[in-house]
Amino acid sequence: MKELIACHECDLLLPYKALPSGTKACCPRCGYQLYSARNNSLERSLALNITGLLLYIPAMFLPIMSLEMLGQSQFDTVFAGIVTLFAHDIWWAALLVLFCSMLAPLLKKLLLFYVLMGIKHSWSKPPLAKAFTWYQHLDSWAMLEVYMLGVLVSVVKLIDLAAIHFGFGLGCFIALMICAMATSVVLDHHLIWHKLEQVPNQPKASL
Amino acid sequence: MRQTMMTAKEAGWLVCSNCHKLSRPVPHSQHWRCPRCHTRLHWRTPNSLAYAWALTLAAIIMFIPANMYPITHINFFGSGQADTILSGVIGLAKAGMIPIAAVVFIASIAVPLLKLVGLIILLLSVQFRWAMSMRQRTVMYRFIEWIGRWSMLDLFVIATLVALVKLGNIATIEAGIGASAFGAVVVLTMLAAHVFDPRLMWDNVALPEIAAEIEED
Repeated sequence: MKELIACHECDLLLPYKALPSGTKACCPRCGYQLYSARNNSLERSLALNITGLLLYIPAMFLPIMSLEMLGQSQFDTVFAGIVTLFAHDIWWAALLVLFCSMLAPLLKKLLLFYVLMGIKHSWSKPPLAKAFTWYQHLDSWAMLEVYMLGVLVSVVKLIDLAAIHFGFGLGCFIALMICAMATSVVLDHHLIWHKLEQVPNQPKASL
Repeated sequence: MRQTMMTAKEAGWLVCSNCHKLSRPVPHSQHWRCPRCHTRLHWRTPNSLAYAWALTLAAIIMFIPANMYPITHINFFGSGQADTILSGVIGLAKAGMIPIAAVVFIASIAVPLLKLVGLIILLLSVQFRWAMSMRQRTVMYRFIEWIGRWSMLDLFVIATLVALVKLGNIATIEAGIGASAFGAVVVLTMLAAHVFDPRLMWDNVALPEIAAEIEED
């Protein structure tokens, strides 16, 4: 039997067709992007993911920029911003920023690393499927590129008032953001689920 | 090969909301699970409209404190000033920073408002089966889904500013309680868009009869 898929947005039933790499399939009724094909999607995702993991700590804890005014200076890191928000008792905003700029991107990277390694080495399927499910849930909550725009807006706000020097952390942060965006372009969810289906359930696992 | 198109539901296929696998409902059972990822399966997201309404209304309520209370307290050489979202935008515009004022205005005021209005229109149109252009609704839904995260911009600006501008008596910026309310608006509207099942919009629409080119192209 031909493999069928359904459009996730309008529920239209369609036949699945393998695509030449670099192309994507869209729903004929609502135009939703159903799936796309990439060369070496798994390997490229893994490479980008490891790069992202390496960049994570410098991007979060090294100074993004520093401000100098009348001889005093102060530097800013992603982490310091969150700590300051907590110090001002703006808990809910602090937790949100913590989650969207630090926790969600980190968890996404760790989960994806686990899933990709698991597929490579055929680890047991249920936890891998669970991990990728969580990865998908976290997808829209990791907001590195929004944070980047926030940094830009802050720079423009302050640039007339004080001297601003960019730090090494900014470069790492930009690289981390690019890695995250490239991963989401390269990662083929359809392929991952297809591979996960072939991973064996280990004896004790019940699914 | 030419045939009328069907939805998965009409053809008796359950679609997994998580991994998108199609599976047949198991007879004599009410709790179907996806054979691939073990997610609970439903024909349509259960109570999608009720949840989306609740979250949208909660967001509208939080929108009020988000705009009434100050999001930042600026202390510059001893003179303090509390800024709400709107007064911050006006301040930027007055200082001649029009492009950045426009960005902040779009991200913090226009987008949240548009999102709320868009959600209400979408929900009303499904609830009362309005005959509305599917194209318009699809564009609106995708816009709401996609734009949601960018409203966090203002919170990230605040996080950067408070860490950077704490120079004792010279200048400090502190976050205000409005920032929390604003964060709540962003999260609630994002959740409302997540929980809204777009397939409900399409369920009242006739199916196209143009299977030919998708089958064999």
